[in-house]
Amino acid sequence: MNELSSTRPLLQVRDLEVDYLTSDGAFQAVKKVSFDIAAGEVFGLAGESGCGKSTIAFAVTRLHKPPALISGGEIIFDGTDVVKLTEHQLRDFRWTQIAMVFQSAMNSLNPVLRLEEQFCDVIMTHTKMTRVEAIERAEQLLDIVKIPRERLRDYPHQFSGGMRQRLVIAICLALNAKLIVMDEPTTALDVVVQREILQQIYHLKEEFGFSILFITHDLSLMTQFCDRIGVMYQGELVEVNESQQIRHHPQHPYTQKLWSAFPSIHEGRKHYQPAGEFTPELIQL
Amino acid sequence: MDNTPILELRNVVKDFTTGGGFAKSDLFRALNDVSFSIHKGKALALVGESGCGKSTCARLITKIYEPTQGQILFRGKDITEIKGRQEVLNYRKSVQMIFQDPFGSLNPTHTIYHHLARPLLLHRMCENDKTKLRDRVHELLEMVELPALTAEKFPHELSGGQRQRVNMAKTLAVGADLVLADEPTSMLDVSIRIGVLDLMQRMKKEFNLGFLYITHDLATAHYIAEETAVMYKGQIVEWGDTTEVINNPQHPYTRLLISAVPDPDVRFADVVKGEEDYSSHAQHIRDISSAKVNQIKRVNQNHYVRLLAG
Repeated sequence: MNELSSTRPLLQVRDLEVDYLTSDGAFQAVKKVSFDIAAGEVFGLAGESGCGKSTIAFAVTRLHKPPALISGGEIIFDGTDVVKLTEHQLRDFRWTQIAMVFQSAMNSLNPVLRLEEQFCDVIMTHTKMTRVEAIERAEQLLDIVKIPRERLRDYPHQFSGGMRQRLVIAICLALNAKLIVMDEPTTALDVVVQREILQQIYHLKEEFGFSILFITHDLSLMTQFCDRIGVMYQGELVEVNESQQIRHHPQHPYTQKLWSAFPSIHEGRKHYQPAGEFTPELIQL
Repeated sequence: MDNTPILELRNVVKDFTTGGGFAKSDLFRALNDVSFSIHKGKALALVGESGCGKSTCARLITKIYEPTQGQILFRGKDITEIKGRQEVLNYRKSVQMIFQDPFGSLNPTHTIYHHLARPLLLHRMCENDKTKLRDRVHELLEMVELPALTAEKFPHELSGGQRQRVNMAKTLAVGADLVLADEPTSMLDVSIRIGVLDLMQRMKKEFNLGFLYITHDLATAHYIAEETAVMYKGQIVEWGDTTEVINNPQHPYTRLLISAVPDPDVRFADVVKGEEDYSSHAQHIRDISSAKVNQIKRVNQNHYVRLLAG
């Protein structure tokens, strides 16, 4: 990944400013934020709710709606300025270039349509595939996220939360997007399911080489998963560094405060010598 | 300190009926052989994924449901025998709840003063006298580290953390002995979570409250609770001193849960290498942990594990 940093990054965000227009004037939610994401890189945005990290995610995909407004800066994706795209160009741009997994993505599937329809909708709108080809592609995608093909005929409520999350990821992969924006992709899930999904995302990333903009409030998870991390505080990017640097040498007082806000269970475990080695047979009937 | 726990669950079983009407009715065992006790000034963390039955425990304790089998003892007395208005009122006063959603648990049309004065009056904890009530409310706010000014505010003017503090002040207002805290910090921002947890620690020590801390987050459980019980599919699979359970887990489900908590010092690439087929491994552990078993093994002084079926 390091050799890529010399070439042009996939995404360049320069002095991005996003305002929310309120009756009391404009509230600046994102203040002159700049960062890059290289091809194949996982970049994390950390910070508490309201710090503007989701607003950035929406701005990058131009999915923000009024009263939010990009008031300044550039978002250069693979040579094109996303801010200047017309509505029509955006239709081609989304999904094929950048795909997005939203917070509580499991609720972003349409509850009254079979999965088949939802896959076909995305695939057929953006490619010239016929319905038969689109279903074939959908089946391949289900294989990728390890969900049985025959479940394509099911409705979203017939899947567990973790499976629905994987389905959304599968739809994101449908058109080989170069960047996937993941806004709190695992927040509503329990830790075991979270690990399962991240493992899968990791393998997919290795295989297909897309970049990820990863947003979460869980700094431990982020340090583990991301190559580089940006820490946001009140609309400003206060620190950007490699995740190991953020972990071991946080520079900004806010980053340091965030770390102290996490009780870690692993600290004690590393110094603990269990009385005997664990053998599952010991506790079998 | 006397040794009778404030609350004790003894081999509690809870079955729910599903279906019915024209459909086939079926029994669903939500809790199987659940036993634990909570002592004054101590916290017990009940940890498990959603749907494992941890909130059902809280509902049984608050007398919303009756146990199918087993006993729930409050200061040695079976709570199913608590009947009559005054007795139930007293019990409800002693056992208070703090809910997950700080936005839904306060009435948006009333000030914070109302939320704190009302329980004081209902449970006759204070004379119905304006100055005395006001003083007491201010005192309560101070206990939970909120400025006295907060009394005049409405819930929407407060942050999630401040609202959760108001909820804690409510439990202090009625002089509760036991607080059932159901995911009290999971909707709060990480940066204020610790503050609320620290307040719970203080309440535990200063007011000698017992806590049942219900959570899916092992890390906060580890921070606040002396004892931890890990629950899966309606059974407590492992319990004991928190440090023991976390540092020397015996049950495969506990191990799975702990290993899944992100460790910032291990790169994900290394995690992946060590776990070739994570999903099927996790599924295998879920399968073997689901069977209802009533045999238990003592691992240590205060550390128990439920045996696995065959």
